[in-house]
Amino acid sequence: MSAEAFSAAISPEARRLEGWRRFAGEAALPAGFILICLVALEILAWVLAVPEVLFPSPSRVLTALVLNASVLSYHAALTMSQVLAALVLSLVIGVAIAMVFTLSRVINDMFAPLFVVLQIVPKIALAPIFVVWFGPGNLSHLGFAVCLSFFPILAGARAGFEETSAEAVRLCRALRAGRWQTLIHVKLPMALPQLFVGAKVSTTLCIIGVVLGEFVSAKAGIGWYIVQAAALSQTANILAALVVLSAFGLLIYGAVAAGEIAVRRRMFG
Amino acid sequence: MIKQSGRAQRILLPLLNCGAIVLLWQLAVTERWINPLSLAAPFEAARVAVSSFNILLPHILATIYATLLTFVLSSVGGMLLGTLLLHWRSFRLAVYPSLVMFQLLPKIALAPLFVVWFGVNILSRLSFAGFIAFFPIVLATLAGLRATDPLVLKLCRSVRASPSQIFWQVRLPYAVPLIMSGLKVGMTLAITGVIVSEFVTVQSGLGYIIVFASSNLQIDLMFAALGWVSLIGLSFYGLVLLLEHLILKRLGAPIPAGLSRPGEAGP
Repeated sequence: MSAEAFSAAISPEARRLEGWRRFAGEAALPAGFILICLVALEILAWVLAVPEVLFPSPSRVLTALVLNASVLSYHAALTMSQVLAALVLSLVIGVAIAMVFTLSRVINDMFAPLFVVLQIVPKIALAPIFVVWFGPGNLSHLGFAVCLSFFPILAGARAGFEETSAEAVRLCRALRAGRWQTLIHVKLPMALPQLFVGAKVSTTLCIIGVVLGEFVSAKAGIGWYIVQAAALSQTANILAALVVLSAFGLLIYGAVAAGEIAVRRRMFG
Repeated sequence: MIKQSGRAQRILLPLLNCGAIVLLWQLAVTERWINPLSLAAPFEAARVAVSSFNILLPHILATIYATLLTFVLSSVGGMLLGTLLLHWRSFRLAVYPSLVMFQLLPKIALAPLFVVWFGVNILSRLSFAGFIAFFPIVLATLAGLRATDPLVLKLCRSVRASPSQIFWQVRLPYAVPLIMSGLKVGMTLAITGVIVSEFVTVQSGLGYIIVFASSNLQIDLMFAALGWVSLIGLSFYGLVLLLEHLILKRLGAPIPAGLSRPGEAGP
């Protein structure tokens, strides 16, 4: 009680400063943890003199990152453009299938259980068949990534369409809106939050799909670079490629998450 | 729109549809509408799956063994770490952001590195698959243990329940749905990690058979192996579902209707 009275008495500037200090405290602990881990690894690699093939020190990875910056950025740009294309394609395909399911009960009953089963099956095992189908090029990576990543979007869109409030649907019917109109103008916007839940899962799956496709067959791309570096036992280069891949992956994920926050703020205030 | 279709329609339609798809697929391959080098006829693949069972058996067992061991190790480790994170606040604050970040990273890309570290033996496969399956289980356990109704916790404290009583009789039962959700993701990721690792190590297992068959253009064998992989994946997922069902029933909790939710989709 007295603490509350005290904090109410201090000026807004002081409170803002306090907020900043708390934010710094919350961010400092995780950042410090990562920093300590990196330093410990560096010292360990140096003291134990681990062979670089087995375990390159963080500073060695950083050197590899700087030295190969241009090569890495070329391959990363190639991989990331495919990841983005796969994400857009799986959004379109996932939402389109979910729309067909919502519009027709019969088609829903015929195919929905199949898709649920397919969602559980380890589709990763399909990677080599896409090479047989599309050849060892970008198309096969794209196809494979879409095949992995449209399921969460489909599931999210279906959940979103089904969650639309019955009252809103009834109101649409009373206003003589057609099924298609209801779907586009009412159900789709209301499904956006669920759709974003699916899209976030999808983003990670897209990256996995493209990189694994490049493992199996490629002539360029980050996945190809990693396999090449592994064949030459250039462990520092593998880790450098992984750092680049992770940075881009987190960037795309962050963009999707920011979109989600923006949509939620607009919808729910 | 909201009305449910009849039970018969919901069960019969998908089965009939499935049968029709398989027949059409068979017809498309045997009538050469599709190049048989790119798609195996389903009956032919099923015949190979049964007739070459003797050759496939050691690989099926290798995949099953690695998957189960990975799942058990990563779920035990994941739940223990999740519990530790619940009780040790400063450790949680320090580690939690890194855990979330690791969950989002495309860890599959590390597969070749595990070969450099552990070679091409089972240890390499187990550690890689465990590394992939571990993170969702930790985060789900922590989220579940923290999802207890605060009012219930307050009540427990007011009747002087001991911390261990609170954990075993209140927090843990409340956490079951989220933990099981994490275990489902973990199971899918365990088999995924094992298969990818078999792709890369090329020693044994169904992943090895798939790569081997595709490079030899033995499409029938490849689809036979794919069939076995799907069967194993579905039955293991079914086992986790069964476990969830049994535990929730024992606790008298509501049992979720769907097979899987958007967040539980695996690669």
